[in-house]
Amino acid sequence: MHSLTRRSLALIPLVALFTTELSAQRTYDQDKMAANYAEMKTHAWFKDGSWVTDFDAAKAEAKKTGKPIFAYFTRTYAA
Amino acid sequence: MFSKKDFQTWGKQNAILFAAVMTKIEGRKDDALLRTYEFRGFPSMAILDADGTAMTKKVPRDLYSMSNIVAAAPAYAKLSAAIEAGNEVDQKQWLMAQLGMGRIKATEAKAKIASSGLSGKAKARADMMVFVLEMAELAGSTRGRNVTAEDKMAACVAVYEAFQAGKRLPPGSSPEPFVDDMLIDAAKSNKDSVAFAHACERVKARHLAQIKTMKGYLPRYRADLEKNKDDEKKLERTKSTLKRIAEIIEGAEQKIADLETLAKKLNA
Repeated sequence: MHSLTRRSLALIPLVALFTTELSAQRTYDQDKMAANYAEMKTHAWFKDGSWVTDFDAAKAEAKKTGKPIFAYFTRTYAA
Repeated sequence: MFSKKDFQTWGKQNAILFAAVMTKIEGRKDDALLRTYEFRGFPSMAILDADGTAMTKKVPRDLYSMSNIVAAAPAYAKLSAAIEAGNEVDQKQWLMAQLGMGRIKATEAKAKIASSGLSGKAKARADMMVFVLEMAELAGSTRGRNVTAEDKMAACVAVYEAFQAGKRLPPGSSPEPFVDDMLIDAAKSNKDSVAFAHACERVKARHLAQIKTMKGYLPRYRADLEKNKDDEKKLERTKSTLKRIAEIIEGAEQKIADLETLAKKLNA
């Protein structure tokens, strides 16, 4: 019994690590994520504002025009 | 903010607007940029150069400051690198870059403007940026645990003196709500209908917007009452949130009523 308890205690860090890994790898419904992103693109702030969503394209445009990049970090998934 | 026409017009002319959208779509390029730039939450903003290097990750949410920062960021990055390398830089350009970025204290900026020989439009622009800084610093002095009634009174007096001296903030700049509130207080104490008229409509609009926002939350939390009826903890949290929303609405309605009473007293 005593050694079982010790073995169980020794497993705690592993279990904790596994649980953290699981939460970090939380899966998201990909159809919903794609729909959310598509919906965002219909919002007035986005479609009327000439926003670029490709970072390489934004950098290339900044190089071409000499303008700085105004980067707005947002998300379309729920926490 | 981003839905407003003036932001969109400014954005098209002065910057490359990049929406770094985190989507959780597997394999999507650019989906981890939040981490790359070490931001911890949403929404966040940064001004980047053409290589993607962040020139600043502190971007205020008013167009006046945003446009100053975007205009000043390239010069600020170049000049601060030159200073770090031990090189001499043009002091007027450095001052304007620091002002644009909001990286200088108002008193220091005032002294530097006085000794810089700036004139004409550049001086007027610098003076305006200093005034915005000054008002933002005053707003900061009225926040926090250790702020006393005397601190608030001193801030109110300073705002009112600036108003009487004819100083006005650029519309929509970040200290505007604070200055407006101070002017309403000053108008009340000094029976000043001019100061009242200057600030009243914006303050009223702000309270009305707050009421609208809060009322917008109500259906969701009322639905949560039913949803959480079997979970005591969640139910308590929902009730407490609803109570807080009701208090905010009531407070904003009271402030509008107070404004209307004051308007009558001042014949404004």
